Amino acid sequence: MSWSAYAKGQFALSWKVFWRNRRSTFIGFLLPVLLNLVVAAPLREREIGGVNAAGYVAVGLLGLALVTSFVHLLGSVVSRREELVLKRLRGTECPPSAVLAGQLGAGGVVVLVQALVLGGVAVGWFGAPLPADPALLLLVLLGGYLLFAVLAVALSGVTPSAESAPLVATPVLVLCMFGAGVFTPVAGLPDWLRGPSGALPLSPVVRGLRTAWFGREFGAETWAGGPLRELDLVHGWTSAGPSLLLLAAWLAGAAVLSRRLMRWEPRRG
Amino acid sequence: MTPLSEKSPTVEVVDLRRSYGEYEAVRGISFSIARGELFALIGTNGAGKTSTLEVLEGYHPPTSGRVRVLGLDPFAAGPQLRRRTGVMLQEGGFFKELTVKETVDCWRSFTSRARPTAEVLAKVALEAKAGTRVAQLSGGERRRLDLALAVLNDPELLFLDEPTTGLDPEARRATWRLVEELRAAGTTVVLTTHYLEEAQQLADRVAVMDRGVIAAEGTVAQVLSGRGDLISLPLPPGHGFAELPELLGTAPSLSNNRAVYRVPRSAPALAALHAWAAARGVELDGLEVRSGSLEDVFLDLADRHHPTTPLGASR
Repeated sequence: MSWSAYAKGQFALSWKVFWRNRRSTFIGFLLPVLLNLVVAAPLREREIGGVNAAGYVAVGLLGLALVTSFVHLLGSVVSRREELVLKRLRGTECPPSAVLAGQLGAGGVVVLVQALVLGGVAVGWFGAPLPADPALLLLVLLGGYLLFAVLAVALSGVTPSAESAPLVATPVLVLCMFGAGVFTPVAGLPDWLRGPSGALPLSPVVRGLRTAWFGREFGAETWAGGPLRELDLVHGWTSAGPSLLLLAAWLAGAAVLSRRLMRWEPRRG
Repeated sequence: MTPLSEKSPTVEVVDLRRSYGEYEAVRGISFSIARGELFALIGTNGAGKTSTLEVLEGYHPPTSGRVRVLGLDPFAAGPQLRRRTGVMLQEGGFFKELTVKETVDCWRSFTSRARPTAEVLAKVALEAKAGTRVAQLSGGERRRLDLALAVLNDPELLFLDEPTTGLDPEARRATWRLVEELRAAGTTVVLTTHYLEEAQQLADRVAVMDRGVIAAEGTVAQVLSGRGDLISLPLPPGHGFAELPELLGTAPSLSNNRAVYRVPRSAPALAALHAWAAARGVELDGLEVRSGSLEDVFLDLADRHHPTTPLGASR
């Protein structure tokens, strides 16, 4: 069997388990969709930076979906490890890299489904436009997903039990939810918070997603401010450049951490 | 890859050591296992059986020493080797959300040359549970599911770490039958167990592990040789322990209010005992005779570490 055949088997396994488990379905799939209905929908008649405000928040929630899949993946890697599922899988001929790839792949497809749901609602109901640059949108979305997935694998190594997973995951979720401009522009934060907030792993993702979706230069938007500058395709990429670099730096850091921290078995004794 | 000759051992272990931090679980053991053999590692908890097995299975590298499994380094060649081996861990986890059948189906999707699901479930008598969620299985049923997955690829070499712990007697016998069938088909089996009866019944060769070393190794007959037979009887009413005779020059020992003789041959010893009893009109109710067992080897090892209080001394 080839590596991709092993990974495919692991993907199907994780996919099935994901939808069977109520907790993972709720945190990993439903939460951003519900927030979209509760938080974004009431903003349908408003505008920010020249774009539909409900769509603006919906795209932010697409970013947040990466963090909820992080929360789900962290809990799932830890419980698989503590329940000796990972150890059992490592006793099979399936290469360990394919085990991880299958699990992360299943999470990635869940995010794509969420993108279709959130995007579909934004366009079909909120009246947001279709994405201006689908390629850039997909790149930021996949890069962002990879970053949070690898970060989940890394932090699983410092999470001793499934019960303690929320202690590790919740701070990341809360910081990203309120610090990365998901619901409301970062420019609205106090000055001293703006620097650290821009460095959060979700910040470049949210900004990049909005730039790709709406084709405008995001970053300085405020509720009171006027329309943002419109960008053509080339300037969209140059505007997203710094975000992409920051994303790549986070991803590299997470990859190094995960190599050092990830464990396949519970600690002995 | 060079093909293995029929003669080369399936498992070869030379001076294996395995430490966890300061603690040395395996302290320099050597053995080899021939193709088609059933080899049992027995020993108390903490003797180093599972640590040894996990090195052979490729979970951990040896701290020092040399290990070859089917001619390969199990840690370096992991996935490649596991196409030809089956592993049943002492404790392995499954997805609680899936049913038994779904679990096997999923496993088949990443197993080369996997047997059909129905066939392996029948082998471990889990057909009736095919639609049951893993979370709802009993401990023994979960062990059987683990066994089903371990034999899914018709392995050349099968590792079974305490396969029958937690099974009821009937399921235990069913597992033994399956292991014997596999062996008849040429599978090499490495087994660890607490149940000496199990090793005695199944194994071609056993290694008795004790505190990280092999205390005795060979066929069951070799390990037991020179241990003789055991005759035991409750103290006859009206006769103290001190009045009991020597049998073939062997004095009895006292254990749980029974006199125990360890004699090289039971028939002449019994004759002598009966003669003594007949002369005194003593009934020998509750007399037991059995040949030496691995349990005795075990208990001897335990005694060596924790010498029992000498007779007559207060506790």
